[in-house]
Amino acid sequence: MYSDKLLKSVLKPGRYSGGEYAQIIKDKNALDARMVFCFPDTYEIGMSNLGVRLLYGVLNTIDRFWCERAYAPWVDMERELRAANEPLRAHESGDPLSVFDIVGFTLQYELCYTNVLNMLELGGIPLMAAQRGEGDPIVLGGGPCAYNAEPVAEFFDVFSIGEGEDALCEFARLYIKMKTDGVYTREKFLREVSHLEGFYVPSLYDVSYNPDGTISAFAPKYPGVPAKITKRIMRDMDKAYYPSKLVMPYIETVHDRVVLEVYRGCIRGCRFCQAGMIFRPVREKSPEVLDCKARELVDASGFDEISLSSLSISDYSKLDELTDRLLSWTNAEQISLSLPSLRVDSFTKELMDKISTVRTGGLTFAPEAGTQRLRDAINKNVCEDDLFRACRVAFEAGKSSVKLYFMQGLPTEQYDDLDGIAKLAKDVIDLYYTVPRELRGRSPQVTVSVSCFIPKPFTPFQWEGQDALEVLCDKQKYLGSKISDKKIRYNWHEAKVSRLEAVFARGNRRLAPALLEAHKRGVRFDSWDEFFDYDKWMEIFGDCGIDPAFYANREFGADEILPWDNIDIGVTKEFLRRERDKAYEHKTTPNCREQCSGCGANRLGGERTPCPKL
Amino acid sequence: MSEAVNTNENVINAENTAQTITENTENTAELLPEGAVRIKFEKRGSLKFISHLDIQRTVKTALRRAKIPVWYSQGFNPHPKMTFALPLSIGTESLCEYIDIRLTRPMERETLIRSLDGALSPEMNVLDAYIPQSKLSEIAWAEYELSSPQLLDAEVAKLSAESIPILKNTKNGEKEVDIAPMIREYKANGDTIRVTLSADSAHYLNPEYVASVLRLTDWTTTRTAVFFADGSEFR
Repeated sequence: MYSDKLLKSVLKPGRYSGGEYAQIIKDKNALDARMVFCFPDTYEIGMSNLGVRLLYGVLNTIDRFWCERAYAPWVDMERELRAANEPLRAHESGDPLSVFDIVGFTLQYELCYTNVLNMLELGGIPLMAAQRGEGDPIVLGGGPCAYNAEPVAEFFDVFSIGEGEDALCEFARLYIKMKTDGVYTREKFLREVSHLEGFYVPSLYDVSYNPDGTISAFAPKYPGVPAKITKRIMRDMDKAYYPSKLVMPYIETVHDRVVLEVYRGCIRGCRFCQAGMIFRPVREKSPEVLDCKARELVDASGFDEISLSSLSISDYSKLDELTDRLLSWTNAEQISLSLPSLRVDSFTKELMDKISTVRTGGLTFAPEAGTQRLRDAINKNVCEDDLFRACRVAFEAGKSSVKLYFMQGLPTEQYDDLDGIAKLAKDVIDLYYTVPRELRGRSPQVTVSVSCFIPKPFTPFQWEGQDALEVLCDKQKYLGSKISDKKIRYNWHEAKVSRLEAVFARGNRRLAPALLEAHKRGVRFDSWDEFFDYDKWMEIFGDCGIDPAFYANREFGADEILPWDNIDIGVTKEFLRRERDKAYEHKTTPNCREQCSGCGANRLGGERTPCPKL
Repeated sequence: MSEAVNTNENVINAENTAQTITENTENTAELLPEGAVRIKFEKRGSLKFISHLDIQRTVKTALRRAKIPVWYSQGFNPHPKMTFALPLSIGTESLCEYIDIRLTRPMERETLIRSLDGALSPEMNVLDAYIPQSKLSEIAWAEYELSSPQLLDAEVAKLSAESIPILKNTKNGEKEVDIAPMIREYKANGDTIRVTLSADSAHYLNPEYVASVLRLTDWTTTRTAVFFADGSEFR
């Protein structure tokens, strides 16, 4: 445990002091193996993450195995740790990260990579996988960024690809078995792990490069090591593990509420969206299973809010049945329901009346693009009429503020698409004034929030180059000049952040020296505005002989070996190519429920899915 | 008595009720009626780093986990009616924290204690629950135990001075305050010192100021008791 003196000297000691209700404590002397699950960002963000809760819970169902938690220390804590020469410790036991058998990191976004290195160092673990010896932990990565983990491949011993509930348990059991059988060595274990479905051991592959920096070959070093790693999925979500208890943070976190995961995957297939592809196929949970779980979790946590979570909640085929079931008891107990993701085409008055966040707060919709042409190109299958209808429902119910999300820099985007964003916002304001005076609330407010397109692996736009930084900034300025109405608020995302994200999203192993150098120069918390330092990063890339444009802005060749080609997400490269071609023809693809487009993800199987069975 | 117990069981429907009753004989059937109830709890170990506000939120969810029928404020965003006694500064443990709540239904005392205690982490223990005969604002003094290997007799002697001026942080910046009248008594013994400090809302003295007078840089503090103005133990 950290000393009182240390904790008294930091701003929020509750981030590190542990002792939460329902944390899992096991007897250290009755264990075969120990793991620490690390979240490379603050405690407040990590404690709100559903994946961490799931995996922490399921791993601790293993007999004689204890999984603890650790979070990135905030800069004040890091300073104190370094000054006192103290290691970073796990939350439950207070033991340093270096004593664990397995140190796992969830990689939720690319800009957390420097925090991973920082946590490893503070935990007393050699940074490079090649430097680790028999006494060091196995460093495991997973989460969305593991689908292209090449930029951090040299820092990890192994990655878990896809959904981890079953996979990580198999991993832990293999570790325990080899240890208790007395046959464990790092090398033998990692080789054995590579035979488990869904595990990628980067050190078992050779990568070679062409003179232009693209990959010329990517191949296993040894026979028996799979050339392609297929992601893992939970086929039957009704049977998948879901926790019955929640570790209750004392300090306020990002989301203090019960999160109910309703289904995985997304039927939509927006062409810029990575989540929409990597989480395929769609697999739903049954309303009765969800209702039962909600009851259990509300009782066990005492939270007074349930959030229904999924990529696009209104696409859940049994949403009515689920909300009716939940409302039959939540209203009486003063528990509110919230939906984080609404689509304009399925937003109705009935739905709005059921959902308390909608009743209390504003509404957020994501048309993503300003013209129908561009919305068709990105396959965001909504039209202006859907948006206007949804806004009318909201305005007639007395709402006056609406938030609209857009993306700029999308492939095929022209300046008239930006004009379209300004026009759409203006039209929503005009629409407000057509609502009868007695129904509408006070003066309308439309917030236009614009982020920058980032080409992501495993999307139809994975080959596209990101707009140059100057172009992105110019487009932001241009759109700003088109919005003059005081009732429209215009927010935009820092383009420099998006560019760095693009570099790492499409990066390869040659980025490792830059990460190492950034770590040495004290870079961390890149996703936090107060620490993000673009110029420093450009300096580092320059010093390491890396051209960021090669990764972020270059159009990748159609036949080029992509850094993530060794991963099979179910969705085929052919499908992604087809979708990209259709984008340039401004042709849409129907959603999975209307018609199967043959993306290939149904190969993986799945229950309660719209996918055709094989 | 057995009749009353049966009624309680119906009302409370707690798993352990039957067991409780067979284990203990006399006090267990004590029924807390609808209305005000005072809960005494201790807060130890890692919980000393949890702020007053966060403890409030913790108790709110714990009351729900424990299914204690507390009165909720009416209105759009209802929240349970809870009044906390003296706030405790971060870093301080306590053996004597108090919260007042209102029950909307009668509840057996032992069940309330057990279920709320079970809904809190092991470092937060519910010690008692009873019908309050006083107001929380009647707390006038609080006793603290400060422990530190740095404790020196020469420094302790300073607490006997006629006046002990310190710089106190207030809303309007730093202000010189004489804390001598706010120290009722103290008793040092080896590495620890017990001090009784003013705790009424107008003259609340944070024990950290005493630690700084004693020139401690590494110490622990525990609130050990609270008192009425006449020096009798608060209840």
